[in-house]
Amino acid sequence: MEELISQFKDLIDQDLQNMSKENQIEFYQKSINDLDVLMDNKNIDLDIYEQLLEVKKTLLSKIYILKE
Amino acid sequence: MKKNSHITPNSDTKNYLRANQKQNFQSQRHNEQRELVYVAPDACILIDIEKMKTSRISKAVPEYMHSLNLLLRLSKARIGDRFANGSVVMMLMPATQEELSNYHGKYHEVIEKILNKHVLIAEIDEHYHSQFQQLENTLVKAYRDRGLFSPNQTMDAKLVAEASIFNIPVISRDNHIVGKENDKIGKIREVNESILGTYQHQAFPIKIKTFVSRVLKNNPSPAPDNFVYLSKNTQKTLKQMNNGKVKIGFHDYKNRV
Repeated sequence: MEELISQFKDLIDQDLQNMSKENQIEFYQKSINDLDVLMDNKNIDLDIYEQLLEVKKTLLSKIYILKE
Repeated sequence: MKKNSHITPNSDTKNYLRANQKQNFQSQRHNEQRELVYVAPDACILIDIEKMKTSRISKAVPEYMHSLNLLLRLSKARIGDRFANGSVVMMLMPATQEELSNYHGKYHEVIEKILNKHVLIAEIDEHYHSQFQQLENTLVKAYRDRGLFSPNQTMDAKLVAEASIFNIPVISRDNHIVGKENDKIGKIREVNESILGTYQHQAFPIKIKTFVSRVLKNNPSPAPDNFVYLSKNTQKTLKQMNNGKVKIGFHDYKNRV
């Protein structure tokens, strides 16, 4: 799980500038959907949930900036 | 042998426990006497409350735990289909709703319990959705231009913007939301005044300890505004909480956007 969280965190710094805005938005949205699958687990540890939430917030922020 | 017989509370612990008992009693008395106070918790506060209830939060931060506990005691709780007790209404802003729910709008199961029990979801009326969003976007951009939030902190900027529109304080433990460095509050005040107008008592992001302390001391709280942006259901619940007395103000910001 730690490795999975680390992979999600790496998404934040990933350089997507060679992608169009629409493709970037699609990429981040898909990542958020994947995060939600993990966060939807009723048995998830709250510390892990919190870490995933921080990643989700950053990805949501990126989408809002791209849509401006 | 008695359980925990090796633990002998020292005088500091005893004093701390006495202070806690006093504040717990105060919170009970307070709930009986006061007008409602509104607050917008960020997601981490709600997660910490859930951790505290399941004894997961670190006991290394007793003061913070105590503030969480008091907030919970002071907050209205859902009993059946109505909210009862408490003098604090925790309102979940749209930004936090988005963080804590999935693509279908369903809240994550691990946080659903606390939301169902203690939190009022601030639904935006469809009719005003576009206007609300425009106003929010204007605020978020202005906060960013003033260096208050980085692009990656846009969700936090949205939370502060939404709560500012309703003139209710945000509570958080994140320094970039509630920290006092770089005259953050002064800059938020300037942005809010230029876009929302001047309030007699403007709401700002604050730490949970500060919020709880103000509530217990019966300090005057900001008067909420623009509840007319809320859905009929949400407004109905608010009126029921206020015994029909909630005041809903509406300002037309079309010229400002």
